Amino acid sequence: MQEDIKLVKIHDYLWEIPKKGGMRVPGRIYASEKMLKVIKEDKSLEQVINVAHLPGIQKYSIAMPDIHWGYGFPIGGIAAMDIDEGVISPGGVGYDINCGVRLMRTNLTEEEVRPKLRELVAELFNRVPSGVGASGKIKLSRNDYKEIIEKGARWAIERGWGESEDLERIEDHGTFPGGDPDAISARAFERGSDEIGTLGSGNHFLEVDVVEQIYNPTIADAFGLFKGQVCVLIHCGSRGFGHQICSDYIDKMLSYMRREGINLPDKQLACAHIKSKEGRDYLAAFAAAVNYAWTNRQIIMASAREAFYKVFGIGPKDLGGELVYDVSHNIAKFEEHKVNGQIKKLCVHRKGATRAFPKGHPLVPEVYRDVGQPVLIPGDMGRASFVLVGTEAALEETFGSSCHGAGRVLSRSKAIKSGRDRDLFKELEEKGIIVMAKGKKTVLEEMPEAYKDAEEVCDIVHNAGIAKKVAKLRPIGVVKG
Amino acid sequence: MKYEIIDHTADVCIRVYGKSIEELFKNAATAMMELITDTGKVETSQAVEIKAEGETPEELLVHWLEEILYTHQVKKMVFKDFEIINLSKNQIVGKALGENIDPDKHDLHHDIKAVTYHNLRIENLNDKLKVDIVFDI
Repeated sequence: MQEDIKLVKIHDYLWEIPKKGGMRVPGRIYASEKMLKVIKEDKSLEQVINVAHLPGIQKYSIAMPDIHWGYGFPIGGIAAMDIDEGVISPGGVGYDINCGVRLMRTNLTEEEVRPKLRELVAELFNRVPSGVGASGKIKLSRNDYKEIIEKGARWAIERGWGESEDLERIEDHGTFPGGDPDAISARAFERGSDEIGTLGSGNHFLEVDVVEQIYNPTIADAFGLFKGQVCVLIHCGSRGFGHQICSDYIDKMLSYMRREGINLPDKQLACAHIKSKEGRDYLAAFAAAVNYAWTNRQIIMASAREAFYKVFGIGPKDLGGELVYDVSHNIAKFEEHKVNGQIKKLCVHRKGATRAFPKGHPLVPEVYRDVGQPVLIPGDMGRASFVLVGTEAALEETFGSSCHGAGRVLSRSKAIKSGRDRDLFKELEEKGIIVMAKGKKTVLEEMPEAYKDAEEVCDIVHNAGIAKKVAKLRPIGVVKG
Repeated sequence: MKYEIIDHTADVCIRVYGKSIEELFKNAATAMMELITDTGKVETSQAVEIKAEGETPEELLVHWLEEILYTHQVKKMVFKDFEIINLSKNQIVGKALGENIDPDKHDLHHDIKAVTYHNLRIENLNDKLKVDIVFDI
């Protein structure tokens, strides 16, 4: 419990932890009073305070309503650093570099899909390898790696996994510049060599969803969404390649901190100045993992399209399987933001947080420049996911960021204990959701009750104005690791 | 008690005990493998040498576990038992005893992404050592 942490109410959905001790900035938490009670049950607010100690942090150490206890940074945290005096922290990005979500629309409706739903989920389950240590069909050579590091999602498209239009709907067009193979250990290459095009396990998934409700018809239309429509939501990241890069650089940064005399409340916050050799090397390795993750989600989406073609005997035109958007929620981005009335270039860490840029922003893809950037918020496997849109208020208050998901409330062991006698597959099927998973334990760990309701989380960011609700998605098919 | 699982919202935390530093390292490795698979179903037909270095005891512990994790993930093996051959201030040499993963026999429960440094501190209690380790899942 964190009862002793002082919180000052700014408004109904925003709370501040005043600066004290070694904090360089105050903490700010977006939450309702009700949700704050849940947040206080773990150690995540202490982690908001710890992040506020990082050199070069600007304005606030920020937390979203889906905040929960992570390691080092809280999950659901945002920290923007001055690029001259500030640091980059691999733990502030996370082990799963560029973990993120992509949404693919279709022309199909629930009525059309429902009769063949089981067949569709089985086909998706067979085509997209999932589960602990899942190996894919693609074995990456050193040359493949070199090209993925340089091109990102474009590499997959050049090999037939997707269309060039897909690139217009990925952050940074699916290519992150500055990747350098020489900054990456042999071990990282080895761990990622057979994992591209695979989901992994834990909270990663591929879902078949139905658009259940439209909140903003104009924007939903611009995103290609309509009520009753079937969509596919994919959640995964950079697999062992990214995990190893993060581990390697945390060690390098611990040595750097010892050398530079930087002391922080938690070792897992290990960091180096952005302009130091360690900082630059991490960014070169990080960029490679960002590109790996985009390639991974691109290949998985292409496999999902193939599954629909086969099960429904239709072609690309009838399916209309277009990418709506691909968001990164474990990431650090160099962006310009207003600090004390001046525009500054900052390095924005989003650890379990999503970019949420408003209409007109130059970094919003041209196709959405008139409406704003889609923000994709996955829920748990029994309850809704949401599509929102970025706002001006987010740009002003949160360095253009919003929440990323439902946020866990139950630990994995508690979830398994409480679900021991339940048949979750059957329970979800009774609700019209077909679940296929490699690991039964994973399904118990990921049970709906283990999460906050994504609807509550999205209502808070909507009411606080840092993203606006556009559509609600209801799951009907789930593939888990 | 060799180890217990401690509640952690997003990831997995284990509390490991040992009468000596060698036993602590051995128990931590065993606990990690028990998170990954049912080690009761693992034969100790193969031995793999595991070496690690670290500037502090905590870093040495993380690197020891990471080496085992790497061998499990890349060499596709599971382990049941561990032997510590030599453990000095900055270096450990040990053996992991196990076999190749057989998907029909070995269920893999957890994909451990990494061993974290979150609040990692080896504590000296009256008669034993204790450490809490958070794994990113």
